[in-house]
Amino acid sequence: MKAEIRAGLIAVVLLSQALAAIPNPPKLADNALTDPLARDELEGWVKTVGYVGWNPTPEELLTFAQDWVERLKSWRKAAIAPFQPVLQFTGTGQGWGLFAFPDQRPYRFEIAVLEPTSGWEAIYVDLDPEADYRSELFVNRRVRAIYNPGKAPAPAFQPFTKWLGKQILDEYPDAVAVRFAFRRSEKLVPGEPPPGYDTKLKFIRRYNRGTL
Amino acid sequence: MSGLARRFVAFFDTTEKPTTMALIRVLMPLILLTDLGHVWMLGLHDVMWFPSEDGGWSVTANHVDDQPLWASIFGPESGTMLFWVTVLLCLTTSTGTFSRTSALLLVLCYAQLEDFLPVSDRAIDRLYRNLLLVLACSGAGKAWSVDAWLAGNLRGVGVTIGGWARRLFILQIVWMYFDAGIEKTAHSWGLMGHYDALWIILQDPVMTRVDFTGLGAWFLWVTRIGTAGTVWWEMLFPLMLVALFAETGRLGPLGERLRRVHFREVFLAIGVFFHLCLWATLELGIFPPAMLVLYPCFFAPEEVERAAHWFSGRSKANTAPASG
Repeated sequence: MKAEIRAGLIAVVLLSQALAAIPNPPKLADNALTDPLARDELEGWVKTVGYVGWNPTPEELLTFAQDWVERLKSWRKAAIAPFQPVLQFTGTGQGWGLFAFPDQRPYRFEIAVLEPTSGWEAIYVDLDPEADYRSELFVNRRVRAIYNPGKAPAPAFQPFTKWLGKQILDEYPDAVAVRFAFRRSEKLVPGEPPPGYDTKLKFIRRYNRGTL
Repeated sequence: MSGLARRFVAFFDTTEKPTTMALIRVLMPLILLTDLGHVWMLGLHDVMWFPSEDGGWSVTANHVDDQPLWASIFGPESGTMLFWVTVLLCLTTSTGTFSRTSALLLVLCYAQLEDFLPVSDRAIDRLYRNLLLVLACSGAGKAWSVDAWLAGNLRGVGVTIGGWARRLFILQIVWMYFDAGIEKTAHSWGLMGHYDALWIILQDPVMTRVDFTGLGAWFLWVTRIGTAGTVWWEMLFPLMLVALFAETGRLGPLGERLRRVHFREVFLAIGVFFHLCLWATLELGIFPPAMLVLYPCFFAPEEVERAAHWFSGRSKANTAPASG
C-alpha cells in the first residue's frame, strides 16, 4: 500500500478515535445537593476551585458543571455521529474512566432462602465464608457486572436472578422462597473500622416456589 | 505536501520484523480464550447470551430496537453458537490461521457478544477490540503462525511488516492510561481527598478478593501511597513516548540519560507491579493479565528476540544434564 494512502487511512482512524475520546461524563443529577456523598464531593470541588480564586456556592458550581456536561455531551454526540455506525458495529471507542468515583457507601450482595420453620437464611453474602453458595460464580467478571448494582441493577439482573433462583429452589427443597437483595454500607471513613450495613434491603428480587 | 503531513506519513511508514506483533497476536486471543473458558467452566455459556424470555440472561436478544445483528440473522437463540464461533476465532487468531480474516471476524463476533449482554462488556473488552482491529491489518500473522508455516517460513525470516501497527498500539495504550488518570476526578484520588481512593475501593465487598476491613493505620498509608502512585503513574504515562523516542538515539543527552537509567523499563516495571497488585487484591477478571500481554509492544522486535534467546538459553541451561 502506498505510504500516503496508509497514512490517510490511519489519520481517519485517529480522528474518529480522538473524537470518541472527547470526555463523556455521566449526567449530574440535581440530588448532588441533597445526597450527602455527592454534597461532600461538590463541597470539595468548591474548596478546590477556591484556590484558583473562584468562589462559587455549591449550587452555582453544580449548575456550571451541569451546563458544561450537557455541552460536552452534545458536542461529542455531534462530532462522532459520522463514525458512530462503525464504532457501534465494531464495538470500538475510547473513554477510560476506571474507578473514577470510588463509592464510599458500597453495596453487599446477599441471597437468602425462606425456610418454613427458621425464616430467612442467608446462603450467599459477599466475602462471607459462612454463606458462600456458588461463590465461584460471583467472581466471574461478567456475572459480577450483572449483580454489581452501581446506582441500580442492570436489566440483566432480573433474568439472572430468575435463572439462579430456580436452581436454588431445586437445591433447597424445603425452602418456600428465595430472595436476592443488597445492603448498603454506612459511610466509610478511611482508616476507621467498618461502619456496618443498613438493615434495610435494596433492589429486592423475591421468588416464591411455583412462580419460577 | 506540508512538512507536518510529510512527517506524519514518514512516522507510519517504517518497517520492522513481525516478531513483536506476532507475540501479541498469540497472547491476546489466549487471554480472551481463558475468559470465555471460565464462562464455559461455570456452565454459563448457554444462558449468558440466551434470550431472557427463554430462561437466559440477554434482554436484547429479542429486543425490537437493540437486537444484535447476529440475533437478527441467526435467530435470538443463537447466542451460544456465537460463543463457540468466538472461541474458534480466538484459536485461529492465536495460531495465526487465516490471520487477518480471523482477527477481523473475532472483533465483529466479540462486538456481537457485547450487543447480547451489554452490561458484561467492560473497558478492557473495548480496548481489545480497538487493538484487534489494528492487529488484523498489521501482518502479525507473517511469523509464528499456521499461515507462516504454510508459506514455508514459520519464523518469518527476512519478512518485514509495517511498523505503524505497533506505533498505533503504543498510542492507544498511552492514551488509555493517561485518560484513566485524568478521569479520576473524585477527591479521594487527590491530595485534597488524602489519596483515600484505593482504601475505599478495597472496602467494597463486590470488588475485593478478600476482606480488607479492619486493617490498621498502616494499611491506610499503604493504600494512600498506592493511590498516589497509581494516579500519577497513569497521568505521566505519556512520558513513555519520550522514553521510546530516547531509544531511537535522536534525543541527544537527555535521551542518553533516559536510556542509561532504563527509564522505559522502570516505568513499565511499575506498571507490571501495579497490575499484579490489582490482580492480587481485586476481582477484575482478565483486566490485569490482558494489559500485561500488551506490554511487549513497547519493545522493538530485535529486543523481543534477544529476550526470547536469553530465556531459551537459560531454560536450556537449567535442563541440561549436569556434567562430571
